[in-house]
Amino acid sequence: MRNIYSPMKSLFYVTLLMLIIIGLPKAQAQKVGLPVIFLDQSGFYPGLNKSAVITKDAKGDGFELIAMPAGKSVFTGSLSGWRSTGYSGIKTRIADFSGFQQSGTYLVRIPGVGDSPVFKIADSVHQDLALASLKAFYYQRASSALDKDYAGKWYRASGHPDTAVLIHPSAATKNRATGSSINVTGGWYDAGDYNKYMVNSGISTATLLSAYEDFPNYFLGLKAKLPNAKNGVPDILTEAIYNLRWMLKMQDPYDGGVYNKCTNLGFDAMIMPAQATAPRYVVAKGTAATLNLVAVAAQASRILKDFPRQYPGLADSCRAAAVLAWNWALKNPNLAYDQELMNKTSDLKVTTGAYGDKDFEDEWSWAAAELLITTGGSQYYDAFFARLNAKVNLPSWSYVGILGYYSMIRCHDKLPESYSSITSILKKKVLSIADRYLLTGHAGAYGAVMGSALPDFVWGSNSVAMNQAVLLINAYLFTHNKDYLNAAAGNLDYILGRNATGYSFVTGIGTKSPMNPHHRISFADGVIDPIPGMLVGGPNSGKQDGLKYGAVEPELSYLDDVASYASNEIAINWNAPLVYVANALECLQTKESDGSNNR
Amino acid sequence: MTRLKDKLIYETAPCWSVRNKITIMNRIKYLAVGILMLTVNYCSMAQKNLVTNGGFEDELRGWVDYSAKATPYVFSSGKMSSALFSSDPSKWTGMHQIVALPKNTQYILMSAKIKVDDVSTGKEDWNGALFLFEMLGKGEAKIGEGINIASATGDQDWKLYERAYIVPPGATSIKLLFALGYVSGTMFVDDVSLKVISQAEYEKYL
Repeated sequence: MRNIYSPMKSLFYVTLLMLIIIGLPKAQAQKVGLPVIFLDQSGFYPGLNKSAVITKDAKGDGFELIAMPAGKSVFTGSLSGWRSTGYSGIKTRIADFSGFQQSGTYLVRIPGVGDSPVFKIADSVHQDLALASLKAFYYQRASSALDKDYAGKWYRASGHPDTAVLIHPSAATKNRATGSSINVTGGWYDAGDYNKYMVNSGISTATLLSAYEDFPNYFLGLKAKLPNAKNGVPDILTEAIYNLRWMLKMQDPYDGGVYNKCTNLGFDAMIMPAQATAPRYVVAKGTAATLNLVAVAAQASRILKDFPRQYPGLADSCRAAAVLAWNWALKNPNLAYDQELMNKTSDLKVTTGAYGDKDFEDEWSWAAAELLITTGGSQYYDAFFARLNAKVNLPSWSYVGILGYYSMIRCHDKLPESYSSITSILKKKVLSIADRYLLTGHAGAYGAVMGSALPDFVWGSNSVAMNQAVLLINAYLFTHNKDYLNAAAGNLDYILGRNATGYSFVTGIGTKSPMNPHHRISFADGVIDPIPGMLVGGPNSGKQDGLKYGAVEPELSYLDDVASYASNEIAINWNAPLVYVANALECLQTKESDGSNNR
Repeated sequence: MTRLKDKLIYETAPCWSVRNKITIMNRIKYLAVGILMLTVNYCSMAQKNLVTNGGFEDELRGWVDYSAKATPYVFSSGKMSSALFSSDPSKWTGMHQIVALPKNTQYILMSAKIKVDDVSTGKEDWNGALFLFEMLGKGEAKIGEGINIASATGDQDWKLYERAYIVPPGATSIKLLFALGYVSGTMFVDDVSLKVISQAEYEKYL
């Protein structure tokens, strides 16, 4: 989940690979073979676009839609001409059956190629995914036992209490000396490992909070079955608040600065959380970590104002924490986390993920936007306005500027009148990206925006697909142009099987999904099925894990192998946009309004 | 007495009414004129080119030049342009002008026409015939990094370059620079302009 490759990490994974080869437990491949016709294995909404992709020669140009179990042909269509990716040798043809809208169970039959997996056309076709992707965050909880009533066969003992985490020398201050301890319990494990990073927590938590802010009524009705859920509080907020409380603990109350991470010195072995007892540290404060808290706490504050009875005082605490952190950042505007440099000055060398961002302009912009919306303060407007010339990028842990744009557009009505006209600029900037996506997606080899260009296949490429979809849904919400919604759904189709690998990249979803994610809990828990609802990284042309991949094409650079941390790890910042997209589509496919009327 | 009072009222009432009408009419007139003047003033501010001698018709007045020459032989409009020539690609050869911004300026449009002859490529990607700007704050302190609007190499006829930009709070002036940045060749510059624009106009450039 991080492009933070290091020699130490390499050594660790080589060891891991050897252990796996000599036969450590589990990880049997799913018995289903790879499909020959690639499509969304969950299915399609009646009113949105539907298509399948082939990469093999067909006999002729036709295809059929077969109703199951009757086996009766209900729709015929023509395959598109051959399409090329432009970056690989793979060519595709597309079977588009968007015109067929009858609910039911079907397969696509293409003479000379074969039959697709059976799929549904139905309302709420992604309901299981919507719930599972959110529940996946519950399974990532640190410092918490997962009860069988809530976790099912993936129940487990609590691990990493983090109630007495040591102050690393890099984090020592007058009030918190090296070796003293603080309580930073709770939060989510970041990914396949057991550490907790502020920077990655920021975008993940914010994406869940934004999903709620965009679709509040929908989420009131979504029940993921979480423990200790408070009456009237949507489960998505219950889960987000679990991590939010940890983020608040990562702030030094004496000065407002925020530690970069709560971590072991090195990665844990592939063991269960309760067995992982290495000492934990909080490490160096930094500008990125601090501005992430500003943004998330400010956003949470305005949301929690609606839940004073369930969370008394928490909204005010969040607001105060955000302002305190902002003031610290003003005094420390460019303090990067440089792990390599830090390790040269300390015997306690840290080799876990660095998330070493060095450009904070986007963090400043995001933090300013969230504080402006929540407080109306002119100083935050000035800070946001000053950075408005910057180019915006698709969000990732290191590019968060556009998250503030989404919030400003969404909360247009909450802005002071003198500032609200600025949102028309933000909309245009978002649309400039969305319109480019529509152009490239329309001609794409997989009928999706994702995969239309080689740079899409980076480490965590599936999160690129989901963040593209989040952007497109935002564009849809303020334009009501259904092309954006169809393009977003197309990227979800890609994730769920309409891709070159034939995998649905979400554990437990679809007919062929990853069984061996790089995820310590799924590896060590003794349960054959991995924890469901987790989005794996996906094809990554970088192949930084050094494993043997079966193909050279970027879109095939994926291995369902526990050692493939470059293509098969999971991460909270990848799952969060999946939660957003799956739930947004569930909401919008039946009721194209919730939240969108306000824009 | 009552009758007299009534009479007075009778006689003065219409007079008040007329006066009031005149006053109200006058106020409306003044208000209209005021609004018109404000609008004209805003429009003229919005339209005004804040660059001094941007067409180089008055040679290099207003420009700080290190090696620029005004020339009547090549121009895009009017009768003159400015020419920069360099035969030494290890040097920066250029000219600039610092343009004061009206208070509370939020959106600006910068533009210039540039023609290049035989401009070499440099060691860095950005080397070339350059049009760039820097935001300046109090005491002409630089805010952030300089931003490139154009970087041309080779041969190129007159071409309009423009950039709409949001002025960050605290910026009081802008330094417009034209240079042969570590390349050799000739660069002609004409019709340099910096105008205050509205948000709506700014959005047209997004």
